[in-house]
Amino acid sequence: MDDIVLMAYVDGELTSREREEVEKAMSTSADIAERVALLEASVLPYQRAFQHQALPPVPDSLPRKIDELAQAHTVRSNRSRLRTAAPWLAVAFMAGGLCGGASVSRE
Amino acid sequence: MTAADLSAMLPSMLPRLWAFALRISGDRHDAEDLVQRACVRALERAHQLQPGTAPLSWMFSIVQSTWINELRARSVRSRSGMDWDDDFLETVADPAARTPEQQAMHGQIVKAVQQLPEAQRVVMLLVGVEGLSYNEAAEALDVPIGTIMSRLSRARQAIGALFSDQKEQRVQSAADSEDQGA
Repeated sequence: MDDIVLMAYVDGELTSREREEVEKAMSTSADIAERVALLEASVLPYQRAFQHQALPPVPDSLPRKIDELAQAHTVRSNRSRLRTAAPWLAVAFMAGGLCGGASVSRE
Repeated sequence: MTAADLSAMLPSMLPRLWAFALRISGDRHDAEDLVQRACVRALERAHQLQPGTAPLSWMFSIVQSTWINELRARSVRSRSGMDWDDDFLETVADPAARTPEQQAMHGQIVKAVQQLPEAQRVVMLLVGVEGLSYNEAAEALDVPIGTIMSRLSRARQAIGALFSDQKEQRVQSAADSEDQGA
């Protein structure tokens, strides 16, 4: 029997019919019963335990560095946007000039 | 999402990214470097972040893949790999813990998770500790959801084996002390 099904059994995620199948398998196979027992023993307060892990606090320098990285990225991407936009701006400017010129000459 | 949107979110994500980086790298300097490099990569590809993906899971995935790349580069450079800082296995007192046993158990849980093989440890950290769904973890690690579930099941059986031995020992020692009392 698949370990994933056994894990779902322990976590109460199976339908009653699926549960019966697992329980039947457990009663005939010591190996399956053992795996279920191990999975049951693994139901532990992980989040709570890790909340109390003695980790060093976020270094003071880190938020500042991240802020600098974000600003440097903004400057870089603005520059590259200008670079890609520049030829189009030139074309638009020229087209505008021509249109303007045409309308002036019509007057 | 734009890089500007993402950089506005980074400060609030920083404590969890820092803790995650420490837990996977086991070293303060590596963790600091890792968070910075992950943020640079994330800013460069902020436009790839899909509206349905939680930004935090996406950041975990970038921290994780940046670390995997680093480990590969290191194993090419030297065989020594990484030095785990055992200080990170300590836990601080939980005022809500009712008994010293509960207190000690926190430390044992942290140790049990950290002793897992790399691939299982990361899944356990993402799902068991950070509370990601199987789907989010699959997305974060870019593996099928079945892989997440089978790694998790193996991880949990390994942890279960550690804790069921203990349970037996506790029952045994309780029985022994009863014997002595009798």
